[in-house]
Amino acid sequence: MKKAGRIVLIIVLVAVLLGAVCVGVGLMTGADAMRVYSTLDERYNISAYQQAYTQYAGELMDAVSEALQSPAA
Amino acid sequence: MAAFGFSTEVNDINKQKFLAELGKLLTFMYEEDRQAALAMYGKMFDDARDEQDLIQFLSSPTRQAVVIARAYNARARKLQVESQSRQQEGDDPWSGDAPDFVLAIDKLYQEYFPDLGDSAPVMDDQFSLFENAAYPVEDGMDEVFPALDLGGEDAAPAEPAGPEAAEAGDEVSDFLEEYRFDGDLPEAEDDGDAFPEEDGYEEESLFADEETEPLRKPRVPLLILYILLAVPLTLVGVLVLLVPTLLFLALAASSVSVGATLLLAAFGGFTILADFLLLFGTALVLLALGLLFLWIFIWFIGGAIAGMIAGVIRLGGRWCYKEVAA
Repeated sequence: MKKAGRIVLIIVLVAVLLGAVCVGVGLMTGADAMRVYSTLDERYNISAYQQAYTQYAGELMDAVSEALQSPAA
Repeated sequence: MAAFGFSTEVNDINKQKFLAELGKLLTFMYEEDRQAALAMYGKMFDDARDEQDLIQFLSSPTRQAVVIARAYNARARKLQVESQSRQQEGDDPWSGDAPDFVLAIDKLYQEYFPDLGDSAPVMDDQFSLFENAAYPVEDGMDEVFPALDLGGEDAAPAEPAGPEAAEAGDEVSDFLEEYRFDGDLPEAEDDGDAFPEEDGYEEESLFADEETEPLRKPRVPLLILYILLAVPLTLVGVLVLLVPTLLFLALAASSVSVGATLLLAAFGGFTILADFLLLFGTALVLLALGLLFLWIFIWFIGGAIAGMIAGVIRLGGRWCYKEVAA
């Protein structure tokens, strides 16, 4: 278990480093995050998911706060 | 018996060194048995015409120690001595029926000295080491056998039976006493190849495998109380640990799925290299985090929860069971 954990940690660190290097190189060579987001939104409808998540998260928080307030009342 | 690849240096080994080495190897025996075994080997050397021939026959102290170890069971020997001491109150508990190791050494003796029968009758006119002063001591005989007092010993046959057993026991004890190795044995020189390792006897364990597993008896009231308390507490602990476990599982699943989606998107629809690199890097980071969350989830399942349950069981075993001798 210990040995496997060490291997997993090494793989994770290498992947994170490689990813960070790629993001850094991409940003330095003129990548535009808004352009990437708009392309992804067109393909995968990300804004709809974001809207739904925001709505459900808000409703969940309201429900929790109501539940906490009602016993006190 | 042929020697096993002996070198010429064996000629330098004599009775003293052989017995010294053998004495060191027989420390697993009870002291009385060890002395008896050494005395028997000493007698073999004394009776042998050619010391080197006998050493070749015996091969090495290691081999003899293995022969004795195979015939010696310390626990059985202790029981035998205890039963004999109960039967023969006041007598030497180490006398009585010959133990197996004595028979093994005696068998070697019979093999090397086939002409000397152990049950040969003693003739009236036959010279015997154990005879009293009825027979005249020849001139110079005491020089040949300086350790033996031929004039004053109590007469006793070699292996008497019946009422003479006690008397013979004293004589045998006296005889063995003369060859007793008290204190430190002489240090054998490190002759290197003097006793080369033989095939089949290299690094063989001389100690009998005595597995004495103690019996574990439960303390029933304490065990019942422990079960009543430990089971609910363990369940609560497992439920508490399940919350972060499932949380990490959810994080791992979402990270891996989003990372895989971004990776597919990077290879699918971006022509600008910079955008591709940005997306690829982000996907790689998300996949790595997904792997890390997955490993933490596995650790929670196999390490934390399983470890907690195993720890509770182990604690119960330690508190609620007592070890008694088998």
